Amino acid sequence: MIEAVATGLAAFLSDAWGEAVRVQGLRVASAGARRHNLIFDALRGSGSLPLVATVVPSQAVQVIPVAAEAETLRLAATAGVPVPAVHAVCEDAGFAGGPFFVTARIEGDTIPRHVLRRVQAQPDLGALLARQCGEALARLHAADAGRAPLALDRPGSCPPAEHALLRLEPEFARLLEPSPAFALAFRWLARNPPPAPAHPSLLHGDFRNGNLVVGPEGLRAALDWEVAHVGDPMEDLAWLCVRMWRFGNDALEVGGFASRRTLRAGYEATGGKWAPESFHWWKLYGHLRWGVGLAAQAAAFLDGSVPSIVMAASGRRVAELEWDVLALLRRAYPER
Amino acid sequence: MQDRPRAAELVAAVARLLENDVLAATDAPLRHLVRVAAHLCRVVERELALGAELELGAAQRLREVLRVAPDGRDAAALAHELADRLQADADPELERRAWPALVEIARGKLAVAKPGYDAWDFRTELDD
Repeated sequence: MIEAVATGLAAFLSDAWGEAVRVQGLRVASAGARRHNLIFDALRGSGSLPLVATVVPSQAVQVIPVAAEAETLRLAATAGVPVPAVHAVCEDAGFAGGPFFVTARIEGDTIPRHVLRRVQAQPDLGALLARQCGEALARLHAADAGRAPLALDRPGSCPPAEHALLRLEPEFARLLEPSPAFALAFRWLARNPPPAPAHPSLLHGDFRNGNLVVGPEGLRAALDWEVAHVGDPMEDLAWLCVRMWRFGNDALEVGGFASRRTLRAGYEATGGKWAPESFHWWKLYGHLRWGVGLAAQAAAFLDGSVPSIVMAASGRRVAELEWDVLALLRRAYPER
Repeated sequence: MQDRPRAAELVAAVARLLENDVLAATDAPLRHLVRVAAHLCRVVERELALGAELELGAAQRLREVLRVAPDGRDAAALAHELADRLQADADPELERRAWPALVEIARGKLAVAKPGYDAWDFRTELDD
């Protein structure tokens, strides 16, 4: 199987680059449930290139076409966001078992616990990383969203917050066991929409500990742009502050490695406009969305479509997110 | 009636086997799945110890929020009704009664699923 993919990648790249390319050391890098990240070196006349191929094995798991994701990466790079350079895009499923795109391979830590271990060992790194995240997001959000690929979701004339709730609603309605805590959060969000941003921005959509490549000098790249969309810039900033990305370091709101103040300082220093009310709205929304997602994973386990023990465990993680959304709503329901 | 070991003791024995022997003899990527399996055994162990009492407490709280008398429905059925009512209409009084009850019910679920998770309550994060 892996041999056939190596042959397919070599054939495609040779054709795309107009020179003989050999694929060496091909192996599966990440056990992503939906997409395969394949690491390899491309050998050609001018030397060896360390690369990653992101393969989408079936239409069912595709969020946006590979060409749209590659185009988004290029837009982000132009805006000054650290991302891996795109080397090739292939929409033909015949070469590697699905459409794919090829990017530069950037070394560093991506696994959240490894990132947090590195931060612990290097005292100033957490604050540096948060500041760099703020800077990167400010640059991304300043990009011309009108140039975003057409395949990306966008709110159109609807305020982004309302659009986000409309997208969440069908998932919410499909919950096996309706959650009163989530219903309370959903109604509160619907009744208290934040002010719409002056301009919708291009968003990463999943910018958080786990999708960042980190080295001793901080942020090297933001990966996994498949849920990029157009919306409220505060959505990206709030998502980075959702509790599950802290991996137990709860007091450090930004990914378990820094305070929100540091993230905000980086964002504002680079021209971003921080909207506190929107931040809190999108943070509650982020927790709710993750909770609904966990419940959906449990449903996929129970109906047999994804018979994985991890999906089963997700069902028993729903209570964590119920706790989180209720705690975030504390001020709306003062204890008497 | 069944003989000893009881269900909780059996599932704890399975958890210990997974946590010690099986994990030590397992390579990645299966290690993660073994850890998850051991964790789920511990969840079952705690549920066997605490579940019945938590169920009664949750049902009682939900009846108080909904203002209904005991009618044989379990906590899940009552929670379903409360979710539907919260979803359907803006009833500020119902919401005010629901919030503290739901906090306690979530605490109960966490005592089984993830003890200690409720130690963090976001109080320091609610300001701008």
